Amino acid sequence: MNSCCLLLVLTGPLQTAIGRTEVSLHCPEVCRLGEILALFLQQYPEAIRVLGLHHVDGPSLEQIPPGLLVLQDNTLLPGKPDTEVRATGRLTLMPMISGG
Amino acid sequence: MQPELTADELSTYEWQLDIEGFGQSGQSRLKNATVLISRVGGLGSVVAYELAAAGVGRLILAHAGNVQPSDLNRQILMTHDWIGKPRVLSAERRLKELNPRLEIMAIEENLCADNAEQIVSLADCVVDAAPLFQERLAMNDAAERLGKPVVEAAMYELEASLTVIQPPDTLRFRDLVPDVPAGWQRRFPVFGAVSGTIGCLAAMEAIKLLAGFGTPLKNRMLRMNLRTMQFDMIRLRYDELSG
Repeated sequence: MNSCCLLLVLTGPLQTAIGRTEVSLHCPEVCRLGEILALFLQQYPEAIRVLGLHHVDGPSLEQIPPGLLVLQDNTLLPGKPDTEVRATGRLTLMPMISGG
Repeated sequence: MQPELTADELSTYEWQLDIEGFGQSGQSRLKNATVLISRVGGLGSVVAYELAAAGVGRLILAHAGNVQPSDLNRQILMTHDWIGKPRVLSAERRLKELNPRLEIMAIEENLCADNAEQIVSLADCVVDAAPLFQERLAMNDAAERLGKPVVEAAMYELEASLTVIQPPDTLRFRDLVPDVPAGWQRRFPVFGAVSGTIGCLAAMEAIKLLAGFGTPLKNRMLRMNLRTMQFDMIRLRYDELSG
């Protein structure tokens, strides 16, 4: 299967934690959301705490962290680990915020 | 049957009565409306101020605690001379200065699972400006049970988001936030100009909902980054989320 370069756009506390507005990941052309997030967290472990996790085991997250929205083309993707994603272009990782 | 507008009210609001789709009918609806604002901090204080200025008849303000010096960079209804006194009473006196006709129910509590249903039941519309997801979840759960629309507004650093939640027309707040995100920190970076910007927009959504004009932000979320001035409209796909 072809490998693609997926651009992850980071917002809110994720952007603060990593200090970048976007990062790129190499992953299969078609993969699952849980796999993309696991790969991201393995490469950027400073994001683990922001998402309320303690560690990342295995090639896929078992569930999407509560309050993490994942967008493709400004459209919300179903927040399930097995959501199929075409790893071309960009995904936005948007933790819900609660500042008031 | 909407209440009659007095000569004083017609005079006060005459510049907004000309707005297409609003008029005296919309103004009467605002006069007859009750809005709950959950916390009147940086965001909620601006919501309350704009709704008071627009002529909403009754505000319920829920916010615990006393004014602290660190509130004053953003909480525009608080003042230096009120430090150490209840925030919600500071908000009440400032709003009354702006609009003496306004009825205010000031509650020195934050919303929680124990009091949300009772407080939400008193309102026609709710504006969520709470800094903790526990409060947002409790209030949205109550609003969903009671069928009340919620204007969901939030900010962080130079970012902000806004949407309107009213199941079954929209997804539920729990579709976006199923449980309290463990990573959210109680203390968040904030400029008053950011919370004020999203507060104005949230107030406008409440006015549209109450007066019945315009297109509320249902099934869409406005996301803005004031650092770059990028504004995005996010589609919230109710069909797949609810399936």
